[in-house]
Amino acid sequence: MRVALKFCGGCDPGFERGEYWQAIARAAGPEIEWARLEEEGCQAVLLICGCDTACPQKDMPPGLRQVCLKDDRLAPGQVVKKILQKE
Amino acid sequence: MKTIRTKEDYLQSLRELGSVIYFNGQRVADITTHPAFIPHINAAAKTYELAQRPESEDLATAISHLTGKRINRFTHIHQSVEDLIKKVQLLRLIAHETGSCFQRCVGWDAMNATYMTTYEIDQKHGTQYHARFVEFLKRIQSENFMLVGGMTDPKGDRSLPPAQQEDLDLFTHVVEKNDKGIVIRGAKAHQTGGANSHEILLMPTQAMRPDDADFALVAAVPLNAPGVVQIFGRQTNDERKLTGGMDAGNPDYGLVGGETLIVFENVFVPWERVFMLGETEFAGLLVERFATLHRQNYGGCKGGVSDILVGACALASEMQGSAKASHVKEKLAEMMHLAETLYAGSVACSAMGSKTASGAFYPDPLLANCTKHNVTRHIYEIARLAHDVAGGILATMPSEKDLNSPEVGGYVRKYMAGVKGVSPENRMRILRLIENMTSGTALVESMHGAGSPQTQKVMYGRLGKMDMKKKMAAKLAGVQ
Repeated sequence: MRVALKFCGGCDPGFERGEYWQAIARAAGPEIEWARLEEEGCQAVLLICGCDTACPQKDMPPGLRQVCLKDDRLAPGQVVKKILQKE
Repeated sequence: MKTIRTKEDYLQSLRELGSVIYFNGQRVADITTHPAFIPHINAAAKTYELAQRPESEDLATAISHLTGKRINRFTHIHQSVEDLIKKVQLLRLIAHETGSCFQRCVGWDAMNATYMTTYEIDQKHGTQYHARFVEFLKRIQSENFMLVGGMTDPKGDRSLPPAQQEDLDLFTHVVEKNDKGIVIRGAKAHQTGGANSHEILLMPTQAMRPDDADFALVAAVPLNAPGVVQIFGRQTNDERKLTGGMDAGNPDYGLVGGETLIVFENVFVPWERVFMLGETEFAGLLVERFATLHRQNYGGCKGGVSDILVGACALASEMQGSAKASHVKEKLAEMMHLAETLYAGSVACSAMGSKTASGAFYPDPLLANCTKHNVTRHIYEIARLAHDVAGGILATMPSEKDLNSPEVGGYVRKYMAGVKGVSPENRMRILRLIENMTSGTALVESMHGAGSPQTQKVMYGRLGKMDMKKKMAAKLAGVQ
């Protein structure tokens, strides 16, 4: 699955967003092809936001399925399942 | 009941309600004609009056997401960050009209906290609380009722949880359940606007343990329900409100909100008015949400009240010829800095608000707590500066009766004179306003309203992201 990755700006995040994404990418392996939001052909977007405000959420293109993370409590494997809609 | 639109509608609704209320040892038959209550009713009535004015309609009304109809914003569920910001702007606006607490935000915050939390309880437990609450809310929006947010229980021995109190009534709780509803006992303390509200929305006072299931209660009760008794609290210099006039300082409005102890003596509540019962794991979340929504407010209303105080101090200094002194200008600037800092906090926590699962928007809790915490300090400092600028005359000034006395009135006018052309009476009026707004109860309300400072400090530990702060510091210092 081709998935767009978008981070919030990170003004005062509650966790290490970059590290969390790397763990998610490792858990996903080849099942997810990561892309930038501007690129064509994405079936979903993974938003990794540092707090509940989730600033970029309101600017997402309509029609693109969002998985929005506001903390790092969900295990990376569970995040991947959510993206792939396996749960 | 018809929709309450005007102040007169509101007064009539209170007369029809006929809640059982005691003040100073006596039952009050009609609070709308009693001088101890009129100032507080006038302040709450502003929430109705401003919704009728075209120039304040944008802030004072909203479109209901439930019915699509225009409603009083004090019954609205926040649907956006813009709604959260308008809430704060509205509070500052009304404070400019009253110079005092207008009480209605408490019930508003209770409704928003209940809306978002009942949604999540239903998601977890398959209950029907949210649907019930939505029906209740539609009626509140339609009738434009004023609710009091009933959170604080008397709590008795603070070292003991609710179920271990010697007198269980020290926490409001359920004593009976039947097929029609529940029966509750207990009390809610410090209920701002209780005397002149139509209903109370009861909430748990703190996080609860599984043993406390009978105390984990959210329910709406009309304040004229059998078994509900209110006892109105005293405030600093409240006897001056009984005669009105100059010595009352702000004679048309209250010192602060006007609080009652509301007692529930075996009060029946039908099931359709019960929005949580026994889901103890949600009690803490509900309390936190109500507290955050309420703490969000304080830079709006207290910022607005402080604007009045700055203006009063500027006028007092002009009237007594000290306005051009550099230290006075500096103190007025400092007061404005503190007031705008409070407002900035309320706007900030609103701007950083987020959408909950229910769709309702919620302010940033850390910033909201910080805002209220600032109020516990800045309002005292603003009052201190006001006392400094106004002078010792605040504490020693003769009364209005002396001013009007045939025997000594001449002396009062002669020796209360200030700058040429300023009437001594006007000077006294402004000084009394400053005295009123900086005395006793007004300050205590800033300290403990919406939670004492320690309850805000607890939130820093929970929400302050200490791990990230330590990581950042360690990285810069090269700590491995």
